[in-house]
Amino acid sequence: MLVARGNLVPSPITRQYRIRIEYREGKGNRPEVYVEEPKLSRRPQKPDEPIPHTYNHDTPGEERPCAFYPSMDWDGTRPIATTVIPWLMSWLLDYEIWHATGQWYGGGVHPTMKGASKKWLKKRAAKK
Amino acid sequence: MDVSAARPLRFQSAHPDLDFLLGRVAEDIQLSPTRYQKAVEHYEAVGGWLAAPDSQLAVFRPRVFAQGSMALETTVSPWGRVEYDVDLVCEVTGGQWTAQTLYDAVYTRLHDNGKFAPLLTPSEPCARLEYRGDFHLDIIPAVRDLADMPRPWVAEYAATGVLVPAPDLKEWSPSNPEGFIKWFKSRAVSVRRDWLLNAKLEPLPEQTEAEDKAPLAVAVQLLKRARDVAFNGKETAPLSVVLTTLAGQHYAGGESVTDIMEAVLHGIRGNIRAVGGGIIRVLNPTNLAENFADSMTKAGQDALDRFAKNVGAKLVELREPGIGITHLKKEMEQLFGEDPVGVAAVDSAVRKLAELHKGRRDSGTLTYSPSVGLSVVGAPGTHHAPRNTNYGD
Repeated sequence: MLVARGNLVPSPITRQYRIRIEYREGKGNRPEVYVEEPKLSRRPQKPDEPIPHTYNHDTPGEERPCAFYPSMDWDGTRPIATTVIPWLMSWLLDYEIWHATGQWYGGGVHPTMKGASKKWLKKRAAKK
Repeated sequence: MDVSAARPLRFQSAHPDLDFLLGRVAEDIQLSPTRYQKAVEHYEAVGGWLAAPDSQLAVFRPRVFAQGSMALETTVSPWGRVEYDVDLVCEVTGGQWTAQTLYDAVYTRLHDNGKFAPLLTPSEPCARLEYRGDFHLDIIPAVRDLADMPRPWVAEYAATGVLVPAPDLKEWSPSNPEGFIKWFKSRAVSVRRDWLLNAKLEPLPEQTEAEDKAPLAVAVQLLKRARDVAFNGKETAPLSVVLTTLAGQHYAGGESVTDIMEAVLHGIRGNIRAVGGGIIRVLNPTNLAENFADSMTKAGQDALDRFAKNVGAKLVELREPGIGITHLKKEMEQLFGEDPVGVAAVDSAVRKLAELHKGRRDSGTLTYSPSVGLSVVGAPGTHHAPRNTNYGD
């Protein structure tokens, strides 16, 4: 199991984050990203609103960024440093902008989806 | 939102994102292009009326043109008021005028127009036209060629020197609004161009595009706005002409609005230290006998020094990597916000940055450098950020 910790600078105007990436090679596995410090938090203006595009979004303190869609974007052949890292940079920039404006500019698909969205994604995956 | 209008910067800045945000705030606090156009229409109408063949002034070929912030491109939304101040000059050539007779001639002619009369009030030495909810047009009469008039101007600007009535209309004051505009443009445009050529950067376009405004002008807008917020109408506030002249004097080239503001504020503090217990003089670059700061008090100078120190320190804090967008936004609101115009301007600036990030990512042109982060605005980073196929759909 690979565990990598480091200081991530998403952008000169964002905060800097200590992050942890855990990756166990194997079919179906993908890197898991943890933001250790500063911890991800909800907007103080809306404490009931979960952080967008996170795993465990209903458990404050346990949220992890969803910076890529596992079955589509990760195939185990690309280096983490040049994929997950820049995706996480963008995610953290979008996260801070969401904190400042209340709007999520990152687009993306939420990890827990139902019905029509899942069908649509399956269709897209089949097209690739 | 038209992301293409928010072009990335063409030069190396140490803090391109902050420069971008400051530029966008300045765009939102200035006279909008629509209202600018409206102001031009108004003063062209005034000029047309004053010069019309049946006007008593016609033989003196009156010429109406904008001076002040509109001409310098340094307009800012008026503090605590809705109406922008538009400063105009009505310049005549020829005639045996006194300050009183010239003022009366211009005022009377304006009053003779049924549309202008209800808007007109005396605001010596100007005639003021009040367009409720929009503008105050302040028209100062001027004469170019009175016999034996004093000519105190620096040679380079002497050709455009005029006399305007003093506020009591009992005597003349030398003035040179076109000279000042020429001076400021020489600082904003020529110094800028020379610096860019020296730094071997991309040459400037011939015309100033809306999004390629001289960074000195942007810096002056933001300094004026920061002054409005910090002084909130107090009479110790430094005059706009003082700030503008000091900014022009301390600008030595460069494209970063952050750096220019810091250099100007640092320069102002240096000027104040240099006079010891006295009061700084801010000489009109076109007329070294005129001190724009002649009404500055010790209290006003102390307040200016504190202002320069505080805003300068704030900018240093904002350009430090790691500040965080929420904190940055709050600080920018404290600097430029406080009223609905400012709060909206800062919010919009952050959103424009967000849109630029999204646009770059969606088009696959986002880059980053590992220890610096994403290159949303500035020169491209060392690495290409691979497309995350989900995003933007």
